[in-house]
Parts: sequence; structure tokens; C-alpha cells
Amino acid sequence: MSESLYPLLQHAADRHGHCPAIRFADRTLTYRQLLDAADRAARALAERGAAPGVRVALSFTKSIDAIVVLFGIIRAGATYVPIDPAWPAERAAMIAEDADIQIWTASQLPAGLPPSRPCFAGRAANGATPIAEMLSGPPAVGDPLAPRDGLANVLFTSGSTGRPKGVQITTRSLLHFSEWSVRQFALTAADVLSNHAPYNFDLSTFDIFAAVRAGAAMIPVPERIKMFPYQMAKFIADQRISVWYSVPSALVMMQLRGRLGAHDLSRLRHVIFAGEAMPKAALKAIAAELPRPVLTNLYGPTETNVCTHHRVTADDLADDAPLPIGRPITDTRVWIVDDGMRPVPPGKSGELLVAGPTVTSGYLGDADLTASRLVPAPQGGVIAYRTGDRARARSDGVLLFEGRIDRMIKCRGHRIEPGEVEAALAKHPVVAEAAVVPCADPVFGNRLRACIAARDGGDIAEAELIAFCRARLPAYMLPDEWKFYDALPRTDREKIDLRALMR
Amino acid sequence: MEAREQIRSYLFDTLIPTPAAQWPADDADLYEAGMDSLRLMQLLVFVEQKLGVNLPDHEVTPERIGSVDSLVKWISEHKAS
Repeated sequence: MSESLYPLLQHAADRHGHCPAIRFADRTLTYRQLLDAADRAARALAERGAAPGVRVALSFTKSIDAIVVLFGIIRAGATYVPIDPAWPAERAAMIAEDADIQIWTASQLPAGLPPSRPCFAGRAANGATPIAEMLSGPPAVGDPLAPRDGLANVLFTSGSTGRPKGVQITTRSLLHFSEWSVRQFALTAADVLSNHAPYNFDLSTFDIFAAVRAGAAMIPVPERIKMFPYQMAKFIADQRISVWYSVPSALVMMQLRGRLGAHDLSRLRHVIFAGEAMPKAALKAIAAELPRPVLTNLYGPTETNVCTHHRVTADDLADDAPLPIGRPITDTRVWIVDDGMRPVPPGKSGELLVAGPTVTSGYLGDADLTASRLVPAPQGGVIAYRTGDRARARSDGVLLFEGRIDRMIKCRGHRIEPGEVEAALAKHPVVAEAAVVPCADPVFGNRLRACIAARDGGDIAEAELIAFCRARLPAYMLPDEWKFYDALPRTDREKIDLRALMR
Repeated sequence: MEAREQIRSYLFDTLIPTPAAQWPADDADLYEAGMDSLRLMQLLVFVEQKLGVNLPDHEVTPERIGSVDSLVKWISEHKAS
């Protein structure tokens, strides 16, 4: 099917041309201006080879340029691949190679890029075309092109083998999800949406495509205030944000240290969170300080984008039971199955399977992994994604999340495969054995604990290991705690005793 | 121990373990050194509990957390009172 996301922007420019599309650092683009800039970006990108089947790196900090270039890539029919500018060069290079990146766009080009690739960057260096020059050329004309295989973007997440894996997100998925979102939250051109998550996070697809579908304003949250709860709460007030969407920890931080109740947040209609479990005590405290906005928990691994949702009720706030992940979004089906992929009776735990339009078309360049995760559903003759999450259905059909069936850890909304961190640690010459386990944190859900046994009783400083990891892993994957052993404890079956390491 | 030394040692021994020879200068950028949201929350708890200084939430800004120097100056303003 030849679909594009670009008509969402064209319609917004037609109907809400003079409404603000994006506001950042005292600069505002209306929808008409955003469309005009994206048309020019598309032309410049197409002249350098952007076309259906071509993947373009999008490596920006939060900015207007990022959104303009993103829509330029979409108009050219290419697929965008977000690469966080804060990732170490080694990881960015690995992803660029696996994704077969043909064109780079960036706030600032990373060092050591293949010299032959066309590049566009905010700051001119290394032969890159400045973004300002890109946007001063003529606009693209004609219909937007549909991407090959319907691939809107590829989001790289932690891989248990030590290599990040690319989750293919389709245009169909984003069209469906943005349509559901606009209806579910009754978004209009009067709304002002926060843009908190980085572009390599699936949460950003709500911030961008739901906003554009509604003609609402996008407000990127500046990177430098993200760790400052009071500044962030003040930002919500100053920018008159009406819909906030983030990982739970950003909200918990604002409740603890941001004096949420002291700011004028009267414009705030919806507070939405996703990415990891929201602790119940924190949710109650947030609800007490923010009595007006509707609170909603969205659930779904990157591979399903959002697949279930739960609007927080008064009953939820009255007990201490974990907050439900709710019910499937439109046209989405879920099953809870046992080890043999048979549906379990209501009330029993099992692995959650999801089928629907938001489900990924697979992992980029990894047919084996795709075949192991995308499987025939128990019913309906459709393909379902095996989430690896354990879930249970309440008697009223509402779903409860109960943890992982594998070792994946959620930290500040990021998913972390312990295997990827362990693989990085194992490259250190003195490390004989490394295991990474979660330890509970009241604000951030989990912290990472690295357990290390040194080779031949060698001596190793945690500072050195951190510096070693920092060159290989994104900051959110760096262990927060270190424990050293002569040898890692074993279970009866001679496997590393992870439970013992978690104590 | 002086507050500056306590903060330096907490920052670079515990919070962002760093080889002794590579400890950043007191005016160096702490975000470059690895300060993040989780570590900031831990730092505030340390200052309040171990140094006994209460820091108003609204004063927690990127400028004040920017370096050891700015941090120490900020804490000393509250210690006096």
C-alpha cells in the first residue's frame, strides 16, 4: 500500500496554517512555515539521494531543525533512523552500518563518519551542507513518495547479544496510532503537546504525529532542563502545555522536587506516561498535586508502539495494587499464553501476545529474530508479537503487567538488555565474568548493578570500568552500582545465580 | 573535612567514580563528567542528609549544578543561614 505520513502535515497546513506547529527557544514555526521548510528539506535530501528504500540518519538534539528534516525525509519517501547525538561514536557507527545509512542529518556531525556519505548538519563542518542552506533551496513539488515496505522509521533498542537491534516502524502503525491518539485524548489545534522523549524513543511518535494530525503545537523540552524537576514543572506552566507525555520517572522527579502544585498548570488536560511501570505511591502523590488532568498509562514495547491503555480511576488511587496497563487500543488484539503458546484461563499469568496495526514488521536485517518474535497468533489467522512481558487479565478484562519472562530491565523508561552491558564489560581484559542485574529504586524504577569477577584475582577499579563502558554504551546503560567477587555465585545447575546477585 | 572536599569525594568516588588522576577541575563541566537525573537526585539527598544543608527546590538549576565551584558556592549560601 502506498501510504505516507506527509499528508498529515499537508492537511494541518491547509486547515491550521497560521497555528503554531512548533515552538522552541523563542522561535515559532506555523504549520504553513513548517510545511514550506519540510518541502525544501525534502528537495535537498532527494537531490543527494533520499528516496524510497534509502535510510537517513536523524541525529539531533531537541530542535526545530529535527522536526523539519524528519518531515523532509518522510516526503522524499526515505526512512528515518534516529541516532541519539549523545551515544558513543562506536555505537552510532555500529547502528549506521547495520542500518546501511546512506545520508546523515545531524545537529552536529559525529566524528569518524564514512567520508563519502552526503551530510547535512546544523553546524557546517567536515564538508556537511549547513541546514540553513538546505532550507534556502527550492521546495519539492508533486506528491510525497511512500517509503519502501511501508517503513517510516527504524528505532534501535538494546540487543541481548551486545548489538543493538533495529525495530521497523511502519507508516501504517503511525497513521493508526496517531488517529487513535487524537480521538482518545480529543486533541485539537488548541492543544500544546510536550516533546520530552528523545527521537529514538517510540514515545516521540505520539509527540510528533498525534500533534501534527490534530494541528496542535509541539513544544520540545530543552535537553538542559530535563534533569531539573522544578525547571521542568515551570516549563509546563510557562509554555502552557496542555498534554504532557513522558516516562514515569520524569513525573516522579517533578512530584518530589519540582513543587508541581506550586505552578500554574491550569492548562494541563492530560498527563500521559509510558515506558515502565508507574509506582503506585508516586502516582497517588502526583494525582493529589494534579487533581484536574486526566492521568493515562500507555503500554507497549517499541515493537508494538502503544498497544494498551488505562485511564487512571478513583479506584486505582484508593488501593495499593499495581496500576493496570488496561485494554487494547482500537483494532488491536491481545492473548495471554503459556509456554506452549496456548491461551491461559482468565486470571492466570502468561506471556502477552499482541496483534494489530501498530505491531512492527520485524527487525531490520534479522530474519531469524523476526521469525522468533512474530508468530502465528492462537486465533484469527494473524501474526502476533511475543512481548516477553508477563501479564494477567483481571475478571473485568483489564490487563495487569507482571514483569518480564526474560532478563530485560527498564531504567528511566529505557529498555536495557543485561547481555549488551555484559558484552561490553567482557571486552575489558581484566574482566573474567560480568553479570548485570536490576536493583529497585523508588524514583527511577530500577538501577543497574554490575557484578564483576576479575581475571586471576587481578585488581580493577570501578572508575576504570565506567570509563571503559562510557566509550561503548549510551549513558543510560552505565551501571549505577558495582560489586566485585572472586567468582560469581553459581546455582546448582552451574548457571550464574542472578537472584543471589540481586540481594 | 571541608564541604568542598566532601562534595568532590562524594561526586568522584561514589556518584561518578573517576580515576584519581582524572578528577575534573573544580570549574569543569559536571554534565560532561557524567551528571544525570539519577545522580542529581542522589547528590541533593547527600547534601541535605550528610551536610545538613537544605536546598530550595526552585534553586536547583543547570547553572548551580554546573561545576564543583558553582555547587560549593550555592551550598555555602545556605549553610550560613
